Amino acid sequence: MITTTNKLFGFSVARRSTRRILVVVYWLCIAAFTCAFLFDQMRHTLDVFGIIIALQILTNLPSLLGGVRAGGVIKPYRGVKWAPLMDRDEVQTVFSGARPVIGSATAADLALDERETRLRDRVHFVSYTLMRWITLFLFAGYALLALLRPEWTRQAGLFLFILLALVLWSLPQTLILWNEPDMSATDMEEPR
Amino acid sequence: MNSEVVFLGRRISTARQLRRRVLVIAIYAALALLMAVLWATTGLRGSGAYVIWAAILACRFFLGGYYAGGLVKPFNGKAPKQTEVPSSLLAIKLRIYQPVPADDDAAYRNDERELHLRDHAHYLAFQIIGVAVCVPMFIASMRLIRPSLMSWIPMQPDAIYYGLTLVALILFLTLPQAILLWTEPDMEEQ
Repeated sequence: MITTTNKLFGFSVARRSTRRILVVVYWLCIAAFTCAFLFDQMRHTLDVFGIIIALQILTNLPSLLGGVRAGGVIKPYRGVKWAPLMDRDEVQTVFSGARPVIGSATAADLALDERETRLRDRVHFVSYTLMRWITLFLFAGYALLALLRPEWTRQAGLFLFILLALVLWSLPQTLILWNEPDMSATDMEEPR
Repeated sequence: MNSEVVFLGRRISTARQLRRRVLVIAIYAALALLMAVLWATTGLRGSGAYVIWAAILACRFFLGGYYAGGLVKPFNGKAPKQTEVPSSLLAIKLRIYQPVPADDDAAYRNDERELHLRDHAHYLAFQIIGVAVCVPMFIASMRLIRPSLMSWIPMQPDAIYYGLTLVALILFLTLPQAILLWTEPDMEEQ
């Protein structure tokens, strides 16, 4: 489920203790982003530039983890089905350097086997159960905000949905990184 | 998954996939209608909880899964709470009592195949909601960037966000059960 081809923040994810530290750092990053975003939005209305930054963070933070898309430390949940990405080590693009011969994962390397598919589904069940409660608390928080500070609700909408999307797109991957045991030497073999 | 549901004292067979699909459509149509009526009458202010209660009742009577009763076995695999006290006279008169479940484990405990189906349904539901949450995010972004583009919507922004969060909550409560009911093939009638 975890690929060692890509690294999270430049660190190898072969050891569980390292992964757990990286998961904590990841959620701290999200908490810091959330606080900064909320603070900025409440002080003065978020402008176009702020929204673009927020959407960039929303797109790029979960892609570090992978899962929802290729390129992270978790294999893509649905494999790589887009034709230009398949067997990409045989394709030389015009405006970039030569591709490395060793260390690049192909579509076959990133396909999930039976155990990994089971793990992916199981983790999503746990995440879903957690997300039900998180959404309920967000809903209650928004309703409470409407009672206490009605003038803030207009601004808080975008924050609410970006936070929801960030947690949705990150929670299963972080649970996998947190729970998977240390990788053996055979797991860490470089892909062709 | 059970092959029949008891509603108002009547046993309704849902062994056929077509019937289950009709039931799923009917439940979502009823919830959408309720939301539309509440939006038209109260603007969803103070009445959003009714939609949540309606979704919980739909789970209890038809869908199951997170709540005991309904077609899908409890996701947590725990037996429903049994009480020695018989159903109240009012419940019996109104025919809203739940039948006593069978005493064996198979009535509520998921086997290996059902566990796999449960987890896969949650995976699909998670992906659907993960994509669906982009729609309100886009609306909220456009509201801030170009308010004039969204002025045709006859609702206050906070009411839209409140309604969309409510929809997300309803999906969280019902979507895995709906996927299971929708995808399971025809069953043998009990």
